[in-house]
Amino acid sequence: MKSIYKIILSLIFLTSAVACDDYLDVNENRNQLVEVPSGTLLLKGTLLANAQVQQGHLSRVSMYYTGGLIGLQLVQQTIYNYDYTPGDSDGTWSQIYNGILVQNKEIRRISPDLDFLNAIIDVNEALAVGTATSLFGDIPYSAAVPDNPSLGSEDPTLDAQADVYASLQTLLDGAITKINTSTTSVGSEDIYNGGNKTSWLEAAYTLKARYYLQTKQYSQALTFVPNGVSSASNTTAYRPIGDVDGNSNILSNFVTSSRAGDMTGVGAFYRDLIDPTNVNGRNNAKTDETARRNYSFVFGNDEQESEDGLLIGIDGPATPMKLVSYEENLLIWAECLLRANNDVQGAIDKLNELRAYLNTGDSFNLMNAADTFRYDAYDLADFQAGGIENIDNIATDRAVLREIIEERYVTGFTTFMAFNDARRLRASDPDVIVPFPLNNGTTTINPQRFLYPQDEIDANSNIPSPIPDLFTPTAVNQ
Amino acid sequence: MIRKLFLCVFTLLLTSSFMFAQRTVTGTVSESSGPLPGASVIVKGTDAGTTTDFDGNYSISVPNDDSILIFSFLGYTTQEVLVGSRTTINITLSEDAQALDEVIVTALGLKENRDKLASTYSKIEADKLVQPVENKIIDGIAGKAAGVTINGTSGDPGAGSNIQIRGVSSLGGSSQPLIVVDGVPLNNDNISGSGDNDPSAGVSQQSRLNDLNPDDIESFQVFKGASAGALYGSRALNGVIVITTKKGKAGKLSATYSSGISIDEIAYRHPMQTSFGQGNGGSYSPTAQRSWGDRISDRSGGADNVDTSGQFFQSLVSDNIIYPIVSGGKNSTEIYTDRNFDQVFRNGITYDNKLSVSSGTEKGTFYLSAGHVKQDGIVESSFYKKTNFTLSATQNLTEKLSANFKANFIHTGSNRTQQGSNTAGLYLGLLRTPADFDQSDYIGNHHSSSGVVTQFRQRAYRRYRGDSDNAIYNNPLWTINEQKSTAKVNRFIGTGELNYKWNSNISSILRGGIDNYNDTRIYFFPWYTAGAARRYGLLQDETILNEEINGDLLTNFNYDLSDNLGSNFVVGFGLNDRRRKRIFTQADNFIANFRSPLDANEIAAKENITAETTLTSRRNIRFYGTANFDYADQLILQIGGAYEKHSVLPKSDNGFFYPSVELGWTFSNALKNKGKLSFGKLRFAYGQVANVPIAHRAQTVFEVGTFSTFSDVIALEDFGGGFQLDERLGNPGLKPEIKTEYEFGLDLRFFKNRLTVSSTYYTNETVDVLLDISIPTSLGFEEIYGNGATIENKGFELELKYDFLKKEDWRGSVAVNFSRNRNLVSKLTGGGIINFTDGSSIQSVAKEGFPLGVLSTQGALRDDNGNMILDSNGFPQVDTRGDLIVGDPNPDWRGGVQFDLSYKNLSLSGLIDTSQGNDFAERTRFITSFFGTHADVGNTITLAENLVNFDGDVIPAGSSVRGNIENFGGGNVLLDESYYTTLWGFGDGKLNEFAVHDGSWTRLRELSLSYTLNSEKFKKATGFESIVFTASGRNLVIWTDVVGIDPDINQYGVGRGKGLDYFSNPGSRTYAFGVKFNY
Repeated sequence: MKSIYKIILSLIFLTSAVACDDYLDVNENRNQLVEVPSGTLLLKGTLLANAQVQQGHLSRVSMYYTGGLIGLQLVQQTIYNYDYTPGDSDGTWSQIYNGILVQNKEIRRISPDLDFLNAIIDVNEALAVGTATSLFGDIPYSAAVPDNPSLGSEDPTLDAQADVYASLQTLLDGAITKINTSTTSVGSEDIYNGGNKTSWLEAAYTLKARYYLQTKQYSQALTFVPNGVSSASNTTAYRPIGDVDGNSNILSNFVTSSRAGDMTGVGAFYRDLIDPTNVNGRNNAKTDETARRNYSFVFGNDEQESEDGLLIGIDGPATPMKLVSYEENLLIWAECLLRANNDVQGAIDKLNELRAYLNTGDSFNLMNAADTFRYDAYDLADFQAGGIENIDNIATDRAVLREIIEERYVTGFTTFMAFNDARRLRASDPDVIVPFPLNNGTTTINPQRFLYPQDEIDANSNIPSPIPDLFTPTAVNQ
Repeated sequence: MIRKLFLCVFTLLLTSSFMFAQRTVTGTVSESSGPLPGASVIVKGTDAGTTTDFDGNYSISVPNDDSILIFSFLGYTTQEVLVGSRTTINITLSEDAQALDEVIVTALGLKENRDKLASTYSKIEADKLVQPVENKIIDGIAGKAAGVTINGTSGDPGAGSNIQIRGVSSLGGSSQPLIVVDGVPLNNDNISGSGDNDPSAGVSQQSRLNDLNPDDIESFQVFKGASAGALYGSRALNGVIVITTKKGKAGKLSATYSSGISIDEIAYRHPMQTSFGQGNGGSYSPTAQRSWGDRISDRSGGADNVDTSGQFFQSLVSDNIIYPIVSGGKNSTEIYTDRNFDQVFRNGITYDNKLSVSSGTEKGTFYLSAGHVKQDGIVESSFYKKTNFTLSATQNLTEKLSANFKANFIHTGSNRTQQGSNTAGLYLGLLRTPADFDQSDYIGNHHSSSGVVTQFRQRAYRRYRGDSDNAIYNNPLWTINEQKSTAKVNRFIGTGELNYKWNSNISSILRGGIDNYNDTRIYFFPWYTAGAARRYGLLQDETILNEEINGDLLTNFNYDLSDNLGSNFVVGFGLNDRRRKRIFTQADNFIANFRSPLDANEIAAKENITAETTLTSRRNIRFYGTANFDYADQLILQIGGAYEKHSVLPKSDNGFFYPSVELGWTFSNALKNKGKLSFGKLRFAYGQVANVPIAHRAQTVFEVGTFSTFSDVIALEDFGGGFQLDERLGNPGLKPEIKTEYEFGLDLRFFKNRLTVSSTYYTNETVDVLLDISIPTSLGFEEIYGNGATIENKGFELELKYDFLKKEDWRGSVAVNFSRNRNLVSKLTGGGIINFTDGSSIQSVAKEGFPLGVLSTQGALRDDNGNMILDSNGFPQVDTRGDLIVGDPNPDWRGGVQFDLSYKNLSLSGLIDTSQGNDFAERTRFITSFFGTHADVGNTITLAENLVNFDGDVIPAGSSVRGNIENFGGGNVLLDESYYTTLWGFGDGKLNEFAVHDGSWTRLRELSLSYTLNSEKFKKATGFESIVFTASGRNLVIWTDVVGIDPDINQYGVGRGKGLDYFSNPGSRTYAFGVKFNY
């Protein structure tokens, strides 16, 4: 009898011994990387994420709210009618925090010595976070993307909007220093500027100016524009390749998707404003917007677009999407000269610098050889009572400012510029706001922000409850 | 090698059965009221045995005069008889009120007497499991066991089904029970894979359990409680199903051949309106999305006025040339709704043939079966076919050593139909198509006005001229004729078992099993398929290789410790290894207009080809033991435990212990005077089971990311590559989720066991439930896979069976089951919701404080009393403050009634089951109302009073308008186009809540009539034992308030998201006829 037990026990023992822990050691991930050799490999992703932040869903929504585009049906129509829900912010918010901030943190950890790479991601971060704070107000920033995040991490607290803007100025100062002293370089991974240090340096300055403009610190803004984007070739842009959807212009992607026909530029205020046949439009003896109007036409339905060969328009697959541009820098410059120094002629000169550039035709693609354009230089008389830019006889400086804002509205099409200006000027300068109409009869005020995203509301106890609604101005615009 | 072994064993077995000279004993087994069919006759000490025929007759070979025959039948006292020199032995068995010796096979594959168990299970007899030509085993369980819920996913041939036992206990991983076949786990995957990774769309995937040949199943048991599954620890969280397959029986060679044909028809159709044409605002438009156009009958009739001067579309399926309709030129009053429908659907037909042969001696037996099913589905071009081969052999090698061996080979092939939220899906295109659009000419050559010809263009209702590459939504004929979604599966399952009897008390079993399958799938969408990703072609080629190896060594000790105290101990060791490799290749933007799948490199440029290989590997080892004590036939105590170590857990802490205790008291044995009571047992059980984390979740990974904010994705892979940290944070501290369950039960039998009642109350709690926990995006990640939820289930189950008729010619029984389960997600870390239905406007979610699966979406603005806050015109408004819980798809209770009635050789059986109180989101109906195609929005009414519409326009009394009248609480209002196209529709800002309705249903699930031909005359004349003819129907009638679709259908397939329909392929109603020859 005893031997039976011995046999059985030894069999069990034998098998258990064989099944040592080595047998169980198969949990390593054999499908995906858990470490990358260089932060450079993460750069492109952060730039693509920011392209979405700047030119994705929310920029289209901002155009619905500034007369640029019309949501025709389905979700686009719903949003157009101001039924914006927190879920509409999820995608962009995710691009900011997961697409950019946490990747930047990882790049800084992996490659602290690649100084130019570190500078690029700082500028890119400033671009993204500045957009975020302008759209959402107070946001998590100093407490965002903590070290060693886990299930037990504290919910990130929100920084006041003014503090976020201040942090970005510091971040940009650091980036400027880094670029100036950088000894390393970045190549094709930089899909915005191809590793051009000047472009990034100038973008950093223009961003500083942009944010001082948004916080209405016009004289500070003025100090940075001279170092800002100095030529069209130094414009920072998302430059799509355009041979497949995945590397195309984001607007092009949208209008060729199953959303074809859901939104359109047809009948929008923007199109009327620059329509040469429109007596209330902005064309005048010195200005012919025909070519730019055709270029910036978003039909919204690929059927029409492809049949008409409109593949090089603002929503063409390979058309670059400007993020920090030469045009913007000149316009900030013009406005700040006027506001900080009351330098009316200086402002007109800067405006004329832009018009001279527009008059080269390089700012937009010519859709048809016959399309005309003209941007002659303005002079002071044009803005004086009865002038072609002041037929309603307002103060000359206001007329100049009004034209600058209107030019920003037109130039900034597809970016947040129009939406930001409408909110910035609502209280302080209602007389110069571009008078786009509201989208329905029941709403009395234009949207002043976007709602905190549903995902963040659900998980972060620090998000105010109730959340500020769509029509509550952010702190800097109150 | 295996094949050779196969042949050797096979030959050995064949010859051995003829090697022994034997003599035959015949006779009749009867009971007090007449012959006893189905009684078992066994030669003691051997495996040789037979069962009595319908007239109680038997015939058995015995080796010699010393043989002892054992006669037994459920519910009767077993008798042993020495054969001696007799050749005829007639026996009358007396009914035994003491014991109903029903045998149960435990999860370890050991046999137990039912009455010696203290946990609950449901046993489904093999003949009740599958009606003739039902080729899906899982669907055969539906309605037959309390607490077991089966939901179909669509009526597509071969579509998988969802099995849920006692409510859902976990949030991630498989929600399906562990399937154990003959002691070895069987894979029941329902993998979507990369080619079908949008759960809201795609095709119905198969459940791998359905691969088995239903004819091979001997018994099917569902162990619901944690105690019964504790020995399987980490895999038994969702319950255990134990299947025992047929083995050869000793005796003469027997063979059965069955053949059947069944006809499927679409069970329900969404009703469509046929009064109004394509367009908006009452005007016809041939490119409009919706059908809010003109009244078709108001048109002039005759042919449309067309412009023949420029572009045209030349059909490739007819001689038709389609020209643009000139403005105002729509004259035709023809309506195509039914014809469009009939072009897509047909009567499905299934041919089913099965053959089995078995034989054996006391030395060894064999069982061989083959089956072939060929099913053409109700959707044109969809099919499913399955071929099975099974060989099972047993052999007593020595007195102490016996072996058995089983091999299964399965091949299935199918073509499925794209469905759901999918521009290339069937119903989405069909049900949005206006009544006045003729879809017939779905493919052709487009000639532009400048003479450019585009070949094989799709023509769909929003592109009636076929003048665009973007069809927007597929023409349904394109979906069924031009696309392919095929799957081929080859599967081999082999199990072997060695059984060694050390002595009369101790025996050991060494058992091994492999279960390998490869599943090759092709998804093919040619040029001009709807959807940006498919417009210039999409080919997805996916191969799934799955291997599962299982080994067990267990030893069983049996001792009678005293006269009254019996004991049984089992100790064992097991290991399990599961590996999967998925190889996925995708090609898009084809370089030319290929019409059928080719190698990816042939079809697309290099930059448009992507490939991905995914490997997963999981292993665990298990030590387990049970100790059973049985005192005086009254008290049963079973103690069990398993200790497991897992590869998916942190190395430092990868072992877990799962205990179980069961206690039973057969109080009827203590009663002096039992009266009508035949048997009574009180039972209590406690157990723990678990679910371990998904493999490879410990670390945060880098991915080649994509970036999208709304239908505008840009991707790193298209920019020359790169990486980004995933949005899911890795978690190195994962633990298994543990379910602890208590159950109390009472089993009673009355009237000499004719009435059986079994009831159970259970309560369980799963803690540390694993889920993708939402974390604030501002942490840099969106989610982390971790232990963060608690789920509770409590419920009551009742099964009752009454043999109300038990006469010589008449037999009748009725079985009733009832169950209710209350589920609660009592804790959900991270707050918020877990969405099981990505991509749907109405989400089936887990939310703290609610049952799992509740429906969450935007609803109407309401005050604190729950009354809708109406706008100034009396219409509801959308509550834009966030999603609301608007329904619960979990039923309040479920029940089933099975009845069997037979007179002589004719028998009738049926099953009615019901689900009450479950909510259902009729999303198809909601959206097609927005589109203006649903019958709900085809009414023309004459107003009896002035009514205001959603836009605030007052429509005067007497007007005849298209719409409906509704009172939301502020007086009658007119629901017309402005209402349905604003508050109804897609996405946010809609009153999605209005799509949710009560989805309760009751159905006549099965009805079957069969006749057995087995008279002596017939047997002599034909040589057959019997022939059985059967006619049956499935899903014959459904009583429900849901319109247009079987509420059991689920857009999200097998999983936790439920209660949603969105252009899901319809369910079917089946009529089947079969004949079975027994030889």
